[in-house]
Amino acid sequence: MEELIRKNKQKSLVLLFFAFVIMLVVGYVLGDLFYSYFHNPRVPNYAQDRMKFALSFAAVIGVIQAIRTVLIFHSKSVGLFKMLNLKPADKDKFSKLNNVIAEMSIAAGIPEPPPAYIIPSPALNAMAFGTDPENCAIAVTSGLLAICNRDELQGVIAHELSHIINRDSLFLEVCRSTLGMVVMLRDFLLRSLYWGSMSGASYRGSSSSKGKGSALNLVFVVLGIIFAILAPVMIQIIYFALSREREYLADAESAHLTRYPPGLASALTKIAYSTHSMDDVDKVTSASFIDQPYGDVIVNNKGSGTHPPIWNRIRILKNMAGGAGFIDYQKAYNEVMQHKADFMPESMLSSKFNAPFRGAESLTDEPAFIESKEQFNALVENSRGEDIVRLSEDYGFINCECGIKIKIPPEYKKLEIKCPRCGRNHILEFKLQNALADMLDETVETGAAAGIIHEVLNSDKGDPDYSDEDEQVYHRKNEGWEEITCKCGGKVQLSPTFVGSFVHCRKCQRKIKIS
Amino acid sequence: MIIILVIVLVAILYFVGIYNALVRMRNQIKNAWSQIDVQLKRRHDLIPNLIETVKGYMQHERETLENVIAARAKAVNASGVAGKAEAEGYLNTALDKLLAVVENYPNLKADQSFATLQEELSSTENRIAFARQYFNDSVLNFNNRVEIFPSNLIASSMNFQKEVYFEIKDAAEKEAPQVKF
Repeated sequence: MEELIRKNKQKSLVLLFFAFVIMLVVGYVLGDLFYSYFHNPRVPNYAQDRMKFALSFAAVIGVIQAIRTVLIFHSKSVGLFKMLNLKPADKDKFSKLNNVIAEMSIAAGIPEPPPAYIIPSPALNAMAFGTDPENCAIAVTSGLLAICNRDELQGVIAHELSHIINRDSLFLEVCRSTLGMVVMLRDFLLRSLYWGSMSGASYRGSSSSKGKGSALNLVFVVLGIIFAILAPVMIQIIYFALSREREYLADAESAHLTRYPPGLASALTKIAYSTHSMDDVDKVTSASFIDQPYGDVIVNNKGSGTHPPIWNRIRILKNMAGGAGFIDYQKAYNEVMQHKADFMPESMLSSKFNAPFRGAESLTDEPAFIESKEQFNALVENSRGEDIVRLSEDYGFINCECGIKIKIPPEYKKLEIKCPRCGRNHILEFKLQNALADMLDETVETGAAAGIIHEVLNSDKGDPDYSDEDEQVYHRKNEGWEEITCKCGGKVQLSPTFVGSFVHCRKCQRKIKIS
Repeated sequence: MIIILVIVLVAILYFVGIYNALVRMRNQIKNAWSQIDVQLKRRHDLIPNLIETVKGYMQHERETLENVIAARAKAVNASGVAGKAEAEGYLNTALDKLLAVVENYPNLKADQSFATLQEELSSTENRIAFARQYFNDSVLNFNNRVEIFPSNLIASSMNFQKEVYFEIKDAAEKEAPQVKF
C-alpha cells in the first residue's frame, strides 16, 4: 500500500509540475502583452524591461498559485458539504452504512473511520472528500443505499476509501485550482486582446511597423497567445488520462480490500443501468456531481473525461476469476483492454501476494445482485430510496401491525401516534428516548424508554382531555366496513382490519370506544 | 577517497532506510493485532445485550443460551494468538447455533432492538474478519521483506524474526461466521 501511495504521488507531482510550468508560460505571455500595451517601444532598454516585467508577472502568478496550493494541502475543511445537499448519516439510523465504512477502514488500516453523509437523490453515486485519511468524509446517495446490498456497498466504499488513501481528491483539487488559474489568465488575455484591438490605443500598432525585429516579436506574441488558448486543454488532457488510471487503480484496491470483486462489479452494474433510466429525473444533481471541485464521483455511465467507461470496469472485475489481488486485476485488465496496465505497483504484482476470494455474505432480505436491465427495473420499483431520504431528514418510521408503515415528520411533536388505518396507538420510541434523555440529562438506552412510558401510561388510565359524558361507545356489528356517526355529526370509517379499542373523530377529536 | 566516503554514506543511508521500513512494518503488525483485539472485545460486549434481548422470547432454549454465555466467558479470558483463535472458534459455533434457533421465533425476528443487535453483531463479525485480513496482509508484507534480498541481510543481522499469521484452527470458524436471518 505504501508503495502504491508513493508511486501515485510521484506521478501526481510530475503532472502538477507540468501544469505549473504551463501556467507560468501563460502568465509570461500575459505580462508581455500588458507591457506592450502601456509602453513605448522606442524608449531605451525596452526589450529588457519588457522581459523583466513579463518574468516578474509570471513569478507573481506562480507565488499566488503556490500559496493556493499550500492552502489546499492545509485545508481541514471538506468543503463541498454546503454546495451539495448533504445530510450527516446518523450512526443509529444508518447503522449499515456506518458499519460498512468502519469495516472497510479496518481492512485498509485506517484508524478512524471517516464520517458518513447521505446525498438525498435517486441517482446512484458515491463520493469521497478530503485530503487524507484523518481528514475526510464519504457520501453516498440515498438511491445507492436503497438498492445496494452489503457486498456491493463494501465494494463502493472500499473504492472511495482507496481514493482517499491515494490522495486522489487532494491531487484533483490542486489540479483544478491550477486549471482554474490558467483559465482565468487565458480569459484575461483574450479580453485584453479584444479591448486592445477595439480601442487601438496601444503602442503595439505603431511598434509593429518600426521596431527592430518586430516581425519576430509578433510571431512570438501570436505563438504565445495560441499557447495560452490551448493551455487549459493541455492540462485537462494529461489530467484526464491520469484520472482514469486512478479509477482503475481504486477498483483494483477495492477488490483487494474486500477480497470480493463481484460486489463492486454488481454495484457498478446497477449504477450503469441506473444512469440511463434516472437521467431525466436527476439531470441537475448528477450534472453537478461530475463537475464538483472537491471530491470524486465514483462513476458516470459512459466514461466522460475523468472516468473510464463503466462497462470496461465491470468486465475487468468480472474477469478476475482466480483471486482478488493486484496481480489478478492486472491480468484481467490486460485481457479486457488488450494492452498492459502500467499503473499498478510492481512489488504488489509478485505472486507472493496472492489474495483468494472470500465468500459472498449477502443477507437474505437485502437487494440481490443483478444481471439484466429487467432485474434492475424490478429492484428500483421495490427500493426504498425515498424512505432513506426521509430518514436522513429526521423522519421516524413505525411499522404498524396492520401492515402499513407510518412516516412521522420531524415537525410532529407528540410522543405517540395513532395508526391512520387501524387506530392502534404507537409510542414513538425515538422521540421518547430524546425527551427522556433531555429530562434526565443522560442518554437513555434503546428499549428502556418504552418500559418507562408503559408504566406511566398504565398507571394513568384516564384520558384527561375528555370528560365521561363526552364519551361515546360503539358496538361493532360485523367484520366488514362500518361507519360511525360521532356526537358532533362527523363520520368515522372503520375498516375490516381494524382491531383497536377506540378511534378518534376526525372532526371534534372525540374518543369513540369500540367494543 | 571521496568516492569511498560517498559509497559508505549511501550504504549507511540505505541501511537506515531498510531498517526503518522493517520497524514500521513490525509496528503496523502490532497495530493490526490490537485492532483484532478491539473487535473481539466489541463482540464480547455485544453478547450480554443479545442474551438479554433474546431471553424473554426463548424460554425453551436455555441450553443454547448457556452455551453462548460459557463460550463468551472462555473467550474473554483467553490469551495468546493460538488460545484466542481457539476460544473464538467455540464462541462462533455457539453463536451460530443461537442465531439458527432464532429462525423459529418470528416475534423475536420482528423485534426492533434485536434487529439492531443483529446488524451490530454481523458487522462485528465482518470487522474481525477484515482486521484479521489486514493483520495477515501486514505479516505477509513483513515476512516477504525479511526473506527477500537484500533486506534479508539487514533483517537477519538486526534480529527481525518472521511473524506468525492469525490462522484459523477451528474448523467451525473457517466457514466465516455467517449471521443468517
